[in-house]
Amino acid sequence: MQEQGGNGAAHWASAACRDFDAQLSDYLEGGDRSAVAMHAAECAFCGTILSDLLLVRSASTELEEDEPPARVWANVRATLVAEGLIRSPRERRRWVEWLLSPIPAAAVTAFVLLSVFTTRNLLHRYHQLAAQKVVRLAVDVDPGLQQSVSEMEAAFRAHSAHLNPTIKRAYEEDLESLNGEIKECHDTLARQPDDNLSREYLVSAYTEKARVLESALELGDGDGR
Amino acid sequence: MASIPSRASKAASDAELIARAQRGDEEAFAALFEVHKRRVYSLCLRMTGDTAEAEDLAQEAFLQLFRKIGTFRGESAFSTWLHRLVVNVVLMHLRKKGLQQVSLDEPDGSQDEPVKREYGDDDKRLLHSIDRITLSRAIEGLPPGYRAVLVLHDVEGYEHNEIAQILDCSVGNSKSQLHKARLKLRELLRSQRLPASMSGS
Repeated sequence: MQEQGGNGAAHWASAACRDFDAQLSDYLEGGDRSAVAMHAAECAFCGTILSDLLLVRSASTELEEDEPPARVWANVRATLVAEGLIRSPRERRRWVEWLLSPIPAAAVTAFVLLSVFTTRNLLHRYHQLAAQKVVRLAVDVDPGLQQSVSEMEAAFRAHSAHLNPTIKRAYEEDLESLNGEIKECHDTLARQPDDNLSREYLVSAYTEKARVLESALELGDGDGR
Repeated sequence: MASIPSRASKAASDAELIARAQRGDEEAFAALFEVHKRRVYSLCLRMTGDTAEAEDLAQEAFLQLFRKIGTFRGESAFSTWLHRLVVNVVLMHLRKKGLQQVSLDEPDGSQDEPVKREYGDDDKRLLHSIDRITLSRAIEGLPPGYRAVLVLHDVEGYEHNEIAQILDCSVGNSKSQLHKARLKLRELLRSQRLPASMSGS
């Protein structure tokens, strides 16, 4: 088999050259093809191909990244503003002005008062029961505290869909961990009712759960959306 | 072990920016753009070989990213998610342009032209290094199908099984197209070879 070079020089491809061609791809992909390297060392023509391809591969791997023109961000930002995904400071000011006008202000105030009233009732009950719990710590977990925590958890579940997904996930993970602790304490106490350490852990877990739920409900009324 | 804390801190920093962007924080959007813009733009540029198209596609990729950022749940690394999104945007664009050869299992005669093997006194190896401008220009000169495989594998570091999935072809086809792409790139580099563009370091 004869191959003609660009300058007219001829290269006679041997059987070893054809084997080299057939195995070269595998060799460059890390395959065990020692015959390729051996032939490249003996044949100047194939040796040139191999060294060139190794150079092409390493140069491609090390190719540096290019800087995009500034207009790319300018266009992205303008589109995000137009679609309302981000708000320009001027637009935020317009929102504030709108919120401060009489009718929206009254509506927002009524909504906020209602939310605060609902949440405050739950939190007030929790604080009362938590105070009682301190006195009764060594005795048992106050059923009222359990009930209060349960109601707060129901309120959180009902409104958590409105929370930012990342924040919601963080709260859910906290609650899941605390629920695991509570269950473990209950199980231990069912087997060993006199285990005061488990009882203290149980009270502590309920108190912590109430604190987490309180924080979540306050965030739900604020800017956690 | 220094890379582990830095990777962890980068992930934490990405996570914080993502959480803020999900709340519509403009600074977080800008910071995410700043962190990832070079990789995104370079991938678009290498895959298309055209700066105007690369700008449009980088813009489109970031817009899609920011529109979908609320659905990012952190199951994969953010940069992996973003990278896959960019590749999809570019491939969709190339397919819309009717470049069938992007799908490597579809035979395309333009890519099967024989790779020249030249040998002669003035036709030696490519010295010891290739400058980036020459290499970038040569990659831009590859047919789109070859370019896609070479960029994904050699430049971006994808494995053949990932490329096969992305380009909807077999692993064997990805390997064979990569080999042909490297040979074609060598040929282009040799034809572009000028004293000023090759350094002999």
